[in-house]
Amino acid sequence: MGNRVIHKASLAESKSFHEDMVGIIATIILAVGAIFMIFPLIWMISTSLKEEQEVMINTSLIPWNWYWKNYIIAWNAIPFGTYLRNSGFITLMSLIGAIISNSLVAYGFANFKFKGRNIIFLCVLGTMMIPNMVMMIPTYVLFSKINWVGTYLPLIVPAFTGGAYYIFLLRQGFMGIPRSYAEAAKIEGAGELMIFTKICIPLVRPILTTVAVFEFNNKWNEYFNPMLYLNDEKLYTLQLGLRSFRGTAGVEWHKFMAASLIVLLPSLVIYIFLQKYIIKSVAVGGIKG
Amino acid sequence: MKKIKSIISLLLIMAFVMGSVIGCSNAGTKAPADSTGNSEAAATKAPETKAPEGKEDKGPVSLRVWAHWGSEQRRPTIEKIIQSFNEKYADQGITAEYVYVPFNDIETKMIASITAGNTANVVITGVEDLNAKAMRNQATDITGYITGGFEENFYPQFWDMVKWNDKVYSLPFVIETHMVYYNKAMFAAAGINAEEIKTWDDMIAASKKLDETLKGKDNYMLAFYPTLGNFGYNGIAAANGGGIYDTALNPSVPVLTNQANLEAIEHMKVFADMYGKDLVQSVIASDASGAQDLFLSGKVAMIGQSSAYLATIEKYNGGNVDYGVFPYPAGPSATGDHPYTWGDGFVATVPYGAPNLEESVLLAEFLSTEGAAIWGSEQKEFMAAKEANNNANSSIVGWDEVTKMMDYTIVTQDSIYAPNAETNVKNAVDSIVVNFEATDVKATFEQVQQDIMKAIEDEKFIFGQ
Repeated sequence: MGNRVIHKASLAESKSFHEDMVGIIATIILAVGAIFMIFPLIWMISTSLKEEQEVMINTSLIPWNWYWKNYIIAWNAIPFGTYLRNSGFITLMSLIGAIISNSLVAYGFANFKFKGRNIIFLCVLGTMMIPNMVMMIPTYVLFSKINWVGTYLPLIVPAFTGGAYYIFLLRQGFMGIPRSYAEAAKIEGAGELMIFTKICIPLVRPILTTVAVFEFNNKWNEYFNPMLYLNDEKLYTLQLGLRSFRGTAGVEWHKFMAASLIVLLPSLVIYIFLQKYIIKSVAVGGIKG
Repeated sequence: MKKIKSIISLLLIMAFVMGSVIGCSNAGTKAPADSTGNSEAAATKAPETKAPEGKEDKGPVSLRVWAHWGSEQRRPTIEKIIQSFNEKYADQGITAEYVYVPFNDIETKMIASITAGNTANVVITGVEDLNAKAMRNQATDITGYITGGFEENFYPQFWDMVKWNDKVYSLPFVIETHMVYYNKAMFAAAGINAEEIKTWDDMIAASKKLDETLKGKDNYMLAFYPTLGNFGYNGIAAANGGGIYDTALNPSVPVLTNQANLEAIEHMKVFADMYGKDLVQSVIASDASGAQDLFLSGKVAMIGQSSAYLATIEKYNGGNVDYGVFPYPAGPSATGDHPYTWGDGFVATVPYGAPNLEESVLLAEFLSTEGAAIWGSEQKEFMAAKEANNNANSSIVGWDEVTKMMDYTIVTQDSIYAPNAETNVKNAVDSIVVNFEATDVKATFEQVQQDIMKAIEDEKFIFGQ
């Protein structure tokens, strides 16, 4: 009896030891991975604090002199305030458009039965397969014909027409809500709009947050479309401004990194505060359905 | 319920209509109509434009210039040029506005805007593919708008580079030639007179002497290596009367395996065998920008660089390196009494379909002459307009030698049919003298020659030629 208890205790101890070991190894692997992932950011910070002459010869991450002035120089080198305002406006409008349009379309696909629903949904998903470069010229011509080139409209309006990935993500979320909730609400006299806004939207809030974060990142960091569609530098965005630190003769790394960090900051803060929603919704979108 | 259904239906229909319009809009990508309104004709031949016979009063005209100069160093100069233009033509109601477009994407933006018919009036582009732009209806034939004798402003070879089928498609702006920059103190220590380096053998002998004298001292790594800087195979081949094609401008017949070209790569291989893989690769790895580049930091005694390198030296040297310049000596197959080198440049192109053509050309002319004088003076770069190089910069060491070298500079262009040929050649050269993989020089070049010929044949087949 006593031996059996000792044996059981020893087994439990051994199991606990194994679990601890697995935990330690996993932590080490994740820590190494995290260092790899965060290294470019650290390098950016380090380079942004070095003097121009130091950038290429000081391979250490610690600057010889902490040259904070790079941030002021970078800020003054381009009209940062104007670009910040422009990027902010485009991003905010796109966010509103993406949240409204994608949630409505996704709700329709998830809850309404109509002829050809699956085929239409497949067509929507199919748009993810078309490379952007193939669409570039035709889309440009289209926007040019309706006199939108040189305005923010080609950058904002498409967000109001939905995006395949966001529709897919939200549809999965809506499909996960038991239909009985809606039926109960209907018995209480609620209309479809009320069910959508008061019951379903709060339940998919984590996914909506993710859509908002992704859309924010996309629009905040978008370079190609603003480059293509904007012809007036007063309308330029931060990403276009950043490119002015790169020329034919090379890159002014110290300034480029300082300016990039300023631009990166909002994305970083948003991700840090909302990461739990992002992880949760990616799990929902990836597993269910 | 009905309301929300109709909203959703509307959104779905909108998505479909947008998709369909986008998918079916190749109509917008057809070539713009020619002067007779015949778009089919315009699509099959290069655009032709004629200057209007009488000047009409159009009222105020606003022009747009796209270029890639957005840095603190470049932007003030291009803005100053545009301001000068606006002041000069204020009484005629013509104004221009400068718009910065990032370097790597200016061509993409130009092509999209030409297709949509809302392009800029003047775009600064590289000259290497101007022939392709002319053939593909992306650049306007402005021959009819150029005033007689205007070409006299420019070096002949830099004027020729803006022509395709004897018609003018751009106006030349910034140009580059290539020289060898040498460290006078190192030459003195090794007892070498740069003026006595007249042949390829002299170049190798000088390099050996420098290595013997300076090896192990300070930062010194080696005397000279042809792929360092931006000299490369083109520089050596041009000095031997060679080059990828039989002609420099609008080329289509590759001659990579002729004697001049094989001698050029063999000459480069002499340096490769002399220094070996480890040293060559460690020198390449230790290159940096600004004051830490190979030449200014004293790691090499000579470097092949473009004329724009004079401005780099002015900015970063601070008088530390006493330097001089000389042309890379002529090879055994070269003809003439002076060595040649290669060059390239940026040109002011009027995109096809640009509005206000007459005023657009006026702006391009201003950029390439009066604007060039401002640019050359402030940016310390060499301009295609000869007069623009006579400025205060002539006090810079090497300025006069580089100016003289312009007369011996051959501008090269890509083949319309094989735009990637230069990359193919560079890869082959790197495999011989940088990566030390290929040992049979002739076989390597024969393979590249075949690849280029195949690319040309394939492309000609696509064009139905």
